[in-house]
Amino acid sequence: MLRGMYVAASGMLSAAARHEVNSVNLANLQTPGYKARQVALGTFFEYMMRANAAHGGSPVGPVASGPAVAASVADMRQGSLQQTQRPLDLAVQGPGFFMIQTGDGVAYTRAGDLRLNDDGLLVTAEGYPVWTDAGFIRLPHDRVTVTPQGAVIVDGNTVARIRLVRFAEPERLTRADGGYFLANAWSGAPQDDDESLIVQGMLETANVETDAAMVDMLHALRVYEASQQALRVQDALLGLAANDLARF
Amino acid sequence: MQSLWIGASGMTAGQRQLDVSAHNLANVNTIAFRRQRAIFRDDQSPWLQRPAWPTAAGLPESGTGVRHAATLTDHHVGAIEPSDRPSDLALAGPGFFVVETPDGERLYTRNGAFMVDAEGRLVNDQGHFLLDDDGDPIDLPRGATLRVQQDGSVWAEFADGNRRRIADLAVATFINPAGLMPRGGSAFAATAASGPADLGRPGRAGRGLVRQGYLERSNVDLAAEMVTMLLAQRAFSFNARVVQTSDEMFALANHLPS
Repeated sequence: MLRGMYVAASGMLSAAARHEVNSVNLANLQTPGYKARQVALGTFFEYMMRANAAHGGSPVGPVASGPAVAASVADMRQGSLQQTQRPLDLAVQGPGFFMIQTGDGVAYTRAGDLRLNDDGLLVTAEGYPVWTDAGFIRLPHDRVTVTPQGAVIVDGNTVARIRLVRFAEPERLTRADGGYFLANAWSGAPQDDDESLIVQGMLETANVETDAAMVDMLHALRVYEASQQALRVQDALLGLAANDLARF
Repeated sequence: MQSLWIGASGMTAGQRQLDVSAHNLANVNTIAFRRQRAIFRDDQSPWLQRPAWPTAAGLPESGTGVRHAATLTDHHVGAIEPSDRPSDLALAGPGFFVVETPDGERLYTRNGAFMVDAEGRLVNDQGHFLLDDDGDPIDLPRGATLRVQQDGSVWAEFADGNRRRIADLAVATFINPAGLMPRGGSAFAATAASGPADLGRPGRAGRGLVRQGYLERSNVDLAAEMVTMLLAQRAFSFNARVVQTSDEMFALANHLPS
């Protein structure tokens, strides 16, 4: 009986988690290079047992006890390209990432809204330098040509090639503030990507599918509602057992 | 459940984009107007982060919505069109005219709709004087006609056919024009982010040539801006729906006891 309450409660919690992920995705509809978050639900107890085993405990048999968020991964599908005509707006076509230098170290991004800072350094919109094969580059002005292979041509001279990297499992990259990605043991180390192409004068839009997100949001709401009803029924049953069963 | 605030951040972003688009659309016919662009980023404010659910990689991860990271001015050159007024100037290519406000402040503009005032100086509708390469206003002798060559040399042409070179225009360029501070009337002030003005002759080192009798249009693309605005409206409604749904879920949690 009590386990039923926890099952219903975990139904509510996981529906709330799904709703939260849909909210974040919909909030980022206008964020260039944004990659939608996805949650995978698993069984709560199985997850607990896995965690337990990882900490030295011995696994026991499975008990179904409601859903829980098992994983949050990034949907790395290509977003559509939007024309902007700005010479320093670059979109990546393919699985590659730009490599940038934040205050905390190297990070990776698909947001190609670059600019020059007051020193002429090629930086992201938020001011982080962009890696090329010649390190960070200074440009005299922003009237540059960037070829699909990433070569930066200023006044007829190729000055550098913008670095693109790819990962074995990009879905499992760590997210950092500002929508940047960080490499980890699961994503694999970055490898030079010679296949992805850079499109100048375009930006990659967020790859959030609004209709799917709206449907999932409604579904999560109704699951939340149904779990709440189940919890109320459990509560009523417990009330009967506690107060009315022993009454003569 | 943070969705209420996440939805609110999405509504704010939609509103911010609507503001920027409305400003751009209002200036679709303003001479030499430079469109603005709002830049958004995925937000993960550490102080809003709670110990979230574990991810596949075993690391906590939960976004906190979206934030407005910056507003950039897009300095790509607008279309140059004939105006047939001899005191209208346009720069066919990169660069800015150098003007001075009545308070003596230097500003930079591509708005070349100048007039000749009572004292023969070239001035725009904001009351800013056009400066030459020595930093002086341009003085057109009484009764003379203004002639401006492509290379920026300014000539006074008299009724008897004589010509006299009275000034040379300077064109300013910046290493990072996006860092210029808009000061209204399509004029900008130099900032630390833009770097100092680099003055030079028109047509040199990538600077545009001067065209007399032409004006530069706004660089707002009407169709593209309308699409951006419609998307911002949709983003706003989607996020309003997020807030509404979060509210319904809170109500359900509130009515748990039967």
